[in-house]
Amino acid sequence: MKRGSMLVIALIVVIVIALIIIFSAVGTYNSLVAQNEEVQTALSQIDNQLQRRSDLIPNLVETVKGYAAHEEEVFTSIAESRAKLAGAASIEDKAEASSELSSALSRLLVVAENYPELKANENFKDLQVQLEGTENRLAVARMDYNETARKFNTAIKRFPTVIFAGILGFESYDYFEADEGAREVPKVDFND
Amino acid sequence: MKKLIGITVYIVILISVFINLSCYGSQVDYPTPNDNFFVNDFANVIDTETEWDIQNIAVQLHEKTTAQVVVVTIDSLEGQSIEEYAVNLFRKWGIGTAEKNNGVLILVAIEDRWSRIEVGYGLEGALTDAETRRIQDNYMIPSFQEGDYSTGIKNGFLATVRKVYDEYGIDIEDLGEDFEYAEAGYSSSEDIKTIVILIIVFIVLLIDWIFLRGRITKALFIAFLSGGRYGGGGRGGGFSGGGGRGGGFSGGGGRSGGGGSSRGW
Repeated sequence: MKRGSMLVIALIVVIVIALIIIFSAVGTYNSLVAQNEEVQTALSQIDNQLQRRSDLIPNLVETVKGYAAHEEEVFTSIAESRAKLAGAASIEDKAEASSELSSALSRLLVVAENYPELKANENFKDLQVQLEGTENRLAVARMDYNETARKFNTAIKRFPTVIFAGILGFESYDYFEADEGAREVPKVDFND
Repeated sequence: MKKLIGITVYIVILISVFINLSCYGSQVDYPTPNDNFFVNDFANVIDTETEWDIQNIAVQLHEKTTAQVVVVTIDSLEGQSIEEYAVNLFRKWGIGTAEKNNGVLILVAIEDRWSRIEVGYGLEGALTDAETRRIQDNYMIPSFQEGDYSTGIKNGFLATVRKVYDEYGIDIEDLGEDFEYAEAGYSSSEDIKTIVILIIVFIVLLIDWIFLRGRITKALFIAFLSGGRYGGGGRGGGFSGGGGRGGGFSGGGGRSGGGGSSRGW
């Protein structure tokens, strides 16, 4: 009788512990899935903005060519880095190609400085503002992505999550890091 | 004993890591909005009348559409770019609703000579980057160059509000005079009403004393006294002044993602 009740107690303890482990595993899994989803959303925001910028380029280049056709070197470097970005798959490659494209575009805007008629063109002004807007959105999307990725990466490395994360197949994300200088598109003051 | 020391060290490390984490954040102290929320003239460049107009129109827009258009002037960006400052301030204040992200921030940094219209995600279709540039180039920058911030800000604000109404399919003509003189929520406009009433009362008294030797005043005075005597002294108080309302306005958790444009002058 005494041995029997000891056994029952032991069994209950084991079951309770097992349940706690299972519940915490399920809870951890769910929160990781949710966080992973957040990172994916942030990443797709970056892709949206990259796409948006690529779509703007032909128009911008055409407009500038109308006034400064012989600045070929700039046009070529834009075309090259745009193609490179289109072919980039990993986050690291994308970040690199993106910052190359950013600097090529900012060179284009510097070139535009030398053409007063171009600078005064309403269409060009709109395109330039759209480009700045996209660069800025990209910077924000990058900041948001890095933040969510950092949270996720920290979460899966933390104990005890680190035990489950490996088993459940969660891997840490790369950060989308661009050169600091690439963030700023040089601003053109039309009023001088 | 060794174990105890080990545990203590572990706890100390944990705590210090935690403190480090909580200290991490942006270095700039972003201002908090005042109760009026829609106009925050931190740089003190907008005249009071314009502030009331902007506040009233913004409140009306908010009540009709839930969208929020907020005007902020600051002295300095404290070394940040205006884009960074705007997006952080926008998110901190939560301009617009969290579901629709239908907020707009008109930010003017006086010393840095930069202005920016930052558009919430939900209004990027109505206020494209190019549109916000045109609003600034046509309505704001020319006045700023002359140092007339009130006019520039008001015109830019009105142009922005017009675009937001368009987005919600509301014709401004239908709003009629309300668009200019919407009476809502601004606590100081209550004060103004009180002042206007006082002035009218004063003029009536003056006319009364000059032309009627104060007959009306006397009659009123007697009526008031007797009313007080027989009525059990109800009344009391007199002017309750504005100020009531309480609470004021605040953001609804809206976010922006860098949409809009910046212009210098």
